[in-house]
Amino acid sequence: MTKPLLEVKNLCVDYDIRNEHALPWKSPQTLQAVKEVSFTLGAGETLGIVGESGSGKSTLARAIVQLEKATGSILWGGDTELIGLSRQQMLPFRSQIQFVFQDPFASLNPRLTVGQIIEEPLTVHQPQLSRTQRRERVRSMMHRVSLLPNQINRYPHEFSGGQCQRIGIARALIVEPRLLICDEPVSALDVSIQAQIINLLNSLQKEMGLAMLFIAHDLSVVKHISDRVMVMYLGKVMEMADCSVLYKQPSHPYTQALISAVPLPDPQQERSKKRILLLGDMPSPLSPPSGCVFRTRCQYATTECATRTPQLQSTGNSSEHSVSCHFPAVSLS
Amino acid sequence: MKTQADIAVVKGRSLWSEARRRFYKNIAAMLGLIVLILVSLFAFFGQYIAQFPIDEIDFNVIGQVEQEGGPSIKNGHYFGTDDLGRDLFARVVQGTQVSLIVGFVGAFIAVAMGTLYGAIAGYAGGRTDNIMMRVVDILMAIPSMFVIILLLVMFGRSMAMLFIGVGMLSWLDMSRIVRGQTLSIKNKEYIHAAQAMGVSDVKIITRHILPNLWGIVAVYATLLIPLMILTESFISFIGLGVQEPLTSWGALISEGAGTMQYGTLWQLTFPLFFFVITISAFYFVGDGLRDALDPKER
Ligand code: SF4
Repeated sequence: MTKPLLEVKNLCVDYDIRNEHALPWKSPQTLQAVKEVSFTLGAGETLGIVGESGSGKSTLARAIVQLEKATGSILWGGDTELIGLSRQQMLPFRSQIQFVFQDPFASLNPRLTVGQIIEEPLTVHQPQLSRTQRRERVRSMMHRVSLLPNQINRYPHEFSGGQCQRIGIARALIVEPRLLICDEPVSALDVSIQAQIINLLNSLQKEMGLAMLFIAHDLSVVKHISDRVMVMYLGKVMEMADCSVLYKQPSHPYTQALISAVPLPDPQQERSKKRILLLGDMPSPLSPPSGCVFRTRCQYATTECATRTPQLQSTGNSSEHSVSCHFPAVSLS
Repeated sequence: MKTQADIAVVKGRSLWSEARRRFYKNIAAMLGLIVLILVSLFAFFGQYIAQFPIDEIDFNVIGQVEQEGGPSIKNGHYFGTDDLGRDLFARVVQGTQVSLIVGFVGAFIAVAMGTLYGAIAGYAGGRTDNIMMRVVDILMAIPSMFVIILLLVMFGRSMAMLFIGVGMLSWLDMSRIVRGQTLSIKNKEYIHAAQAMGVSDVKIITRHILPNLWGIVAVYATLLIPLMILTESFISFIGLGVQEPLTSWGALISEGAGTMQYGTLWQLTFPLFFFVITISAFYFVGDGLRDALDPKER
């Protein structure tokens, strides 16, 4: 069996929230942004991570590149533990794991030209390259993401959102990483542009053999690009399954609600389909509900859900399909 | 082989060049800039036009300054003479030099210290930030004019002391402004991006944070210069500033105000005129810069 590229086990991220007006000796409140998340990712594979804002999906992504202090284990390439590495030790892995951000404008420094932005990872990770070599690489990379290489001296504010996102992608891929983490890369874009960016990511992934973590807040975007999908709620994994399985047999009530919100292309089907509306808001992560974190909005919730915390378990219909709910069968309607 | 794309590399318009364009369109700011250039030229080259050195007493007018010492082209005292019969033109040139130098050097010290301090505090965040900013709070609670006066009295009246006193005490505001701005820049995604790709902290500050701060720093620096000039003038006005025979606008205005009742009004009006137009010009330019640099915040 080949070793997975990335193996995350029991990853937790805690924040200390200190009230501004609290007395200094009062201990701060703890916010658990990510709770015991585990998954593996093989080379060239794509894992979609879905959840509402505040579900901890971005924090999870940031924790993988050590931008957040995390506990648990992040095994890279089957043998390197990333948690606890010093900055210096972490540096070589940073070139193998790259990031694409949500806001195409805010993720590019407005004072730098496109060329300077794209070549920045090269200056950090391959300092031996000369200026002309770097420029050459930048040009070919721009070409690959369908930007005109003669725009190399332009500034980000002269581009559209979709083009800026291409610049962001070029910057991420120029050091030829093995894993690309996309943090809601298309949420800020128009629908027509979304498709272009997703197609671009898809084809680049095939060309370069990239593994991807693709984060989104709804299931429709993830569907086209993911091999497997992980659904998160309040920092916990609710359900994880192969993409096709998840869409056909969603077992967790939350997943079902998310899927029912995905518009169908056929208007007939769209009208006749049963929609599950989620009532209320996500509870504050500072005081999550007891037992199952989803119970405040779950239509199947019972008293048991309030007392006992469901564990992520295999559903049995496929080894890859696991769900954290006491009554996954009930919800299989 | 060259492709078409290689030949025509498009030149981009940076945020700076767009700001410059907006600045050029601002009439008040451009007028202010022209005034400042003229005043600087006056300070640089005025001494070659002046017919007398700053400390020479003209014995032709001494004793009858009211009658003979008025502004006139004929006897070479373009701005008249001061109470002692010294050429006021030369003295105003000299005062302009001193005031401008104090303004620029004082503002430079304040901007350099404040920007560095504020950027470090803002970027480090957490406890470091807290301690650094509390230090600023404490220093701010000390009345600065009082400290400057004490310094000048204790260590003697010298230009260097003036620079140190004025510059050191006005970086506090600057550091607060820069820190606030740094905090907001720090949470931008491009900083996260740089951190995720492993750019060092020093590089992040110099390459990503400082260039995005220059706008606000430039605006406050232009507003700081007149403030420095005002402070220096006040100190000179109360007689603690630069030492004779050196002079500054404040000292000249003070002398002019002292002899006002004898009817030698020119001794007050000439230095006052330069003082007022320069201070206003700086404010106009500062205002124009602010409008040019962040067009959204109007
Ligand atoms: S455990 Fe209970 S509350 Fe939670 S999702 Fe399942 S049925 Fe709903």
